Amino acid sequence: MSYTPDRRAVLLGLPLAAAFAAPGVAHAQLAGQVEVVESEYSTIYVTRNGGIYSMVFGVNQKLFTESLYNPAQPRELPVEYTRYMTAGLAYPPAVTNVLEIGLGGGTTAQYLHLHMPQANITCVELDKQVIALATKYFGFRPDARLRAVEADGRRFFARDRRRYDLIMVDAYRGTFVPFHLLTKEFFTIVKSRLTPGGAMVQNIEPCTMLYPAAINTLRAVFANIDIYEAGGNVVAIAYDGPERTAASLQARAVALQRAHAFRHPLPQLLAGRAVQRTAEPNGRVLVDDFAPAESLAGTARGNDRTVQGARGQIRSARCPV
Amino acid sequence: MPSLTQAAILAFGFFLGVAMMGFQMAASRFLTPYFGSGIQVWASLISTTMLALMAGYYIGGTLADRRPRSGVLGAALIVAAIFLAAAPFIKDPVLGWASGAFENIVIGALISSVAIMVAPLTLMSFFSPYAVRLLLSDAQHGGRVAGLVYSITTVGNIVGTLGTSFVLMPLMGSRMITFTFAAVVALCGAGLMALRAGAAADGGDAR
Repeated sequence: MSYTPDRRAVLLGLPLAAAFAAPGVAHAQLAGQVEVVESEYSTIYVTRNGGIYSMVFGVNQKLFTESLYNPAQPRELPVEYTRYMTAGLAYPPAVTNVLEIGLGGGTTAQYLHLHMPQANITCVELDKQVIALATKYFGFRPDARLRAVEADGRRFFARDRRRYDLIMVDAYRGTFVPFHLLTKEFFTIVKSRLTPGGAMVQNIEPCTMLYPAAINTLRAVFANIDIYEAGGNVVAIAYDGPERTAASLQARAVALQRAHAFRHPLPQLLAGRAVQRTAEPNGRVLVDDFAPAESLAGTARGNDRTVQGARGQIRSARCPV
Repeated sequence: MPSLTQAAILAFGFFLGVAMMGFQMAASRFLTPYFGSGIQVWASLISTTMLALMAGYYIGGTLADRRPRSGVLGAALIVAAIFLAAAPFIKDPVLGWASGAFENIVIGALISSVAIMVAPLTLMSFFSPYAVRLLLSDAQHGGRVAGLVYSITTVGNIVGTLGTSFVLMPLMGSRMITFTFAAVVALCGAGLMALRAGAAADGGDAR
């Protein structure tokens, strides 16, 4: 085990760590632990159990498993919801440029790169230690067509002016999305960077009151929202223009499957589509000025109790709604 | 000085402490869409607050000896309230400009924080040295008076930080929070002007 403290994090993080971290949690020894890194944003654990690598984040005394990777099966996506993130490929008329916000282990981006080597994939990740660990353990191999950019997701758009056929957003901190990546203003920026017919894919934790707010905020910006229930998470795909028919999406999925032989067949993933035609009850549209993402994420949906489960646990067992 | 006046001054100190940290929390919501939620934003906000405290303590302390009247402090706080109320209107032009002009997040966030926060927070920090001057009856109790003033404003700081994060933010928008604190600061300023405490007649260094 190697331990690599980031100097700046140690300097600035010490008072915070002393205030919030329970002794023993910050340096918990996880089963099969191979590396622990204290980054500017969280404690990142890499474990290896039964040949599978996990990237686990420690945020406010809780552990969240964000990525799994099996080096023996580099074309496989072990986390179910990440397979559904790829369903977005069937929406744009062509997939040339893809943007991913929130890298994690980089497995989804690498999956796209392996299957569609001609596509340009840009991954934006706030934490440079996450990029380093993804490269070291999770088979993430940046090259000319797979770029990793160290930046805040929203700040990235302030300086990047390109358009993308598909924009995938999966930026989490524990159970909540940083508030500025889940507002009407942010989705409006994302929409402005999509090519005509392009789509946005958003991973949403369905068990908290952040869910109805996220869905209704997406609805406030995009004409259409499709929902894919994905192993305890929900993947929402948002796009403009007329509503796509199931047949047209299936036809496109079949064509892409034939061309790229995806390990997780696109037509099967598309079969999980549900169209969100109505607003979610009790979901307020979030704006930059008012986006209590943290408190919404701390309230369980339906029974108004504080969520105790880690994201990884909720993922494996569908939450009671 | 009657003890009711002293109690009122200390109560104003508490509410100003609340407003000072509460505004900092609201300002963090202003900066994040432009500069992200990284450590750079918090470092900028905290150092800007410290800069304002430094300037406010120094200027306020000097002014308190020259014009030791609650009305002068009250007027400074009214001006601070005007700056606070203006912050939601100037923030987007300032942040938009700084976000585009500086590639370095720390520089952009720091310049924005200074532009939005320094004026009101500096004027608000006049309070502590002024309150010590107004409450002090003799040098014998200087330590106790200063300690009391700093303790009470700091209790306000704690309430402002926690209350804004966990009570106000789930209830209302950041602009409304800022307007609320502007009103609180204006009321404190008006109260201090109404108190007419301090050496109104003799001025100078009279004690």
